[in-house]
Amino acid sequence: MGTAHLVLISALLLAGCSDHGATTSSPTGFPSGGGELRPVVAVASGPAELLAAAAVGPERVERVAPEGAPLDRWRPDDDALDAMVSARRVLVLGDEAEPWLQRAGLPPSRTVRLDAAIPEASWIEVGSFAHTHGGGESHTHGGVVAEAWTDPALLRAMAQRTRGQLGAVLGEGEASAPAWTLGARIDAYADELDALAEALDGRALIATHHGMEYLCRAAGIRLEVTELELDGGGSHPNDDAVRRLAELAGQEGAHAGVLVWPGPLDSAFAEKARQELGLRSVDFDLGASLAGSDTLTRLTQSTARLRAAIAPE
Amino acid sequence: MSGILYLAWRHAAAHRARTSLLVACVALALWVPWTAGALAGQYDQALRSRAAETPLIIGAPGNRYDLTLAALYFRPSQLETIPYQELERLQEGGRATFIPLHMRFTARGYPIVATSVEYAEFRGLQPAEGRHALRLGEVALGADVAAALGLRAGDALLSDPTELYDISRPPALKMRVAGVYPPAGTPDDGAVFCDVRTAWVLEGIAHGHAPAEEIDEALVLSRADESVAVSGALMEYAEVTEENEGSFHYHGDTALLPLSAVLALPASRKDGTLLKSAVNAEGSFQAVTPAAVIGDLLGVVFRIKAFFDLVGVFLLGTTALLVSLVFLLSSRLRGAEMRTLDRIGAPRRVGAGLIGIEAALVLLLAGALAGGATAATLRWLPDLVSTF
Repeated sequence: MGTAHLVLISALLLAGCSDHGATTSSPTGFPSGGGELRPVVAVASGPAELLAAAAVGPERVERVAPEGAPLDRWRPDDDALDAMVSARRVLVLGDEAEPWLQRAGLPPSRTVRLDAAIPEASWIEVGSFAHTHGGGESHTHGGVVAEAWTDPALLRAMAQRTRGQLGAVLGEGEASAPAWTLGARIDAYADELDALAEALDGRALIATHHGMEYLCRAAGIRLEVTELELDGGGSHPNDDAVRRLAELAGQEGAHAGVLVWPGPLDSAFAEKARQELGLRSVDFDLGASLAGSDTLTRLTQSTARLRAAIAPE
Repeated sequence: MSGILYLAWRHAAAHRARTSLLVACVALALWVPWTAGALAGQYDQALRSRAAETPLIIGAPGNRYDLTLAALYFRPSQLETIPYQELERLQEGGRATFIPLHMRFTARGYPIVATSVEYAEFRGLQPAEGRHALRLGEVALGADVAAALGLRAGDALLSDPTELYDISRPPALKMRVAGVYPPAGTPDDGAVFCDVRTAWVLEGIAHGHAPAEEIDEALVLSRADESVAVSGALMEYAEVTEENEGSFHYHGDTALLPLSAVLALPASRKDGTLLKSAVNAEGSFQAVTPAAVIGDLLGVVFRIKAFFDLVGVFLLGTTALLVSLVFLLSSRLRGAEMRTLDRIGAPRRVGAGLIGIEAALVLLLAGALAGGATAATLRWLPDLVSTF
């Protein structure tokens, strides 16, 4: 009550002799804060673009990141920030997939997060790294695989949330047809995943990145991940990961004979893996970044390409 | 100038000291209630209008006056915080636009108001220079802050350290001035605005440092496969730059990051009523209507103010009696003058008229002086509402 007392005393000291009639407040006519907003949905990722286009039509979707910009390393410039702040809605995947969100001041009321559509139990956790600073509390880095949109069921949940959040603001009427089409396309992608699982016939996929965790879980595919930490630029691979890869490759019959690269494919290492380990490299586009074709197209095509590349048992 | 008026004027001018004292006494007796009344009116209007512009404030349970004054005037308070996930949960309800507020830090003595760009939109703040603070470590200055500190867009401003001698506490953060808002005549002029994430850096909940695997071994207390304990002497970045921005990260669950309050802007009166009753019925947090809280506060003040009104009346009455006494005594001293007037054939009412006109002249001068002093006071007194 200290502040209230202070105010009371201050006001008493200031109070004079003439009483001015009290004004009554009216809670009507609240400023929306969005009078000058552009009727578009700003997106920086492939999945967000796919879902926004399905919900409100592609003409109302605005890209703020350049084509091919990696989501985990992209940083919005001032123009991109201004574009997002002035858009009616910003559709984002979440902090795990788009780390720049932790450092950019997007308006919470106009930012739709797709990770909110994912049930807590559906996230896949991988090795995390905990550390403490002196007497401070321990905190953890990493730990959750971000590419949840590669699971058809989770992609449907994201699509539903997108329709619900964007449709009311930018017109749901125009959204119905593309949304229906999206559902059919997700079904087709799920069928392609099933076909891949059937072709694998219980054999594992060896991948260089955890990004394939969700699609493999959805299709019942066993996945072995060895993170080589290669960026495609000729850097030296992680020795532990190379040893692990050699062990996996040595288990003949247990894997499909391919090394899947969900991230950038390192040609030099791919050639080495083919010659020394007998693993054929296949790149797999998870559809994270913006590109010429949409995320679902790229996912479906990548799945089909992988199925075609699987060595016969 | 008629004769009687001329005579009154000459008499007043001939007794300058007496007339000046009378004018000063009456002016003072008028200035005090006039100024206090005008100031009270101004403050009353300013307080109520800012409160009326803000539909709802949601915060932790506790003193509603503290919550309201902290959210409206950025007054330091010991409010409990509410987790950021509460804002997200409320947002999902879709009844209002919710604006986060975090106000626990200062920069060069000015309150740092960590919020989102919606706050500036809501208060009608458009940068006069630069742009809103949208990045981690950026600030936008209220007009008074920029003027007082002589800062412009592109300059830097250091936050005030909270624990000067505790090396485990986050150091002062060097923040880049992204923009400056024009004068608004509100408490916003005296605030430093930043994104709410910057406040979490100031809290020490978010920080940036070299990757754990690259830290100097001298600072590593222990290292295991999936964990490393680092000495408290590890230097965290004290400035967010383009180069180190990517290293800034949060501790623990981001959903639990603290806020001081949340401003709610309901879409309609009905939504506001439903939202307020829902929040208060649940009981974990409280929703208050600032207009009602400020109205209650001023209601108490104005009940007591009636007493001060009475004091003002007594002051004026006493002064009037004293002035009357002076003129009565003065009229006795002027007996010879009145007799002379009578002998030269002046009507009998001229004597009373002379004294009456002189009294009116004194009142007129005193009124003008008190009016001028009141206007000057209102003009030059610091705006207490904006620094409330």
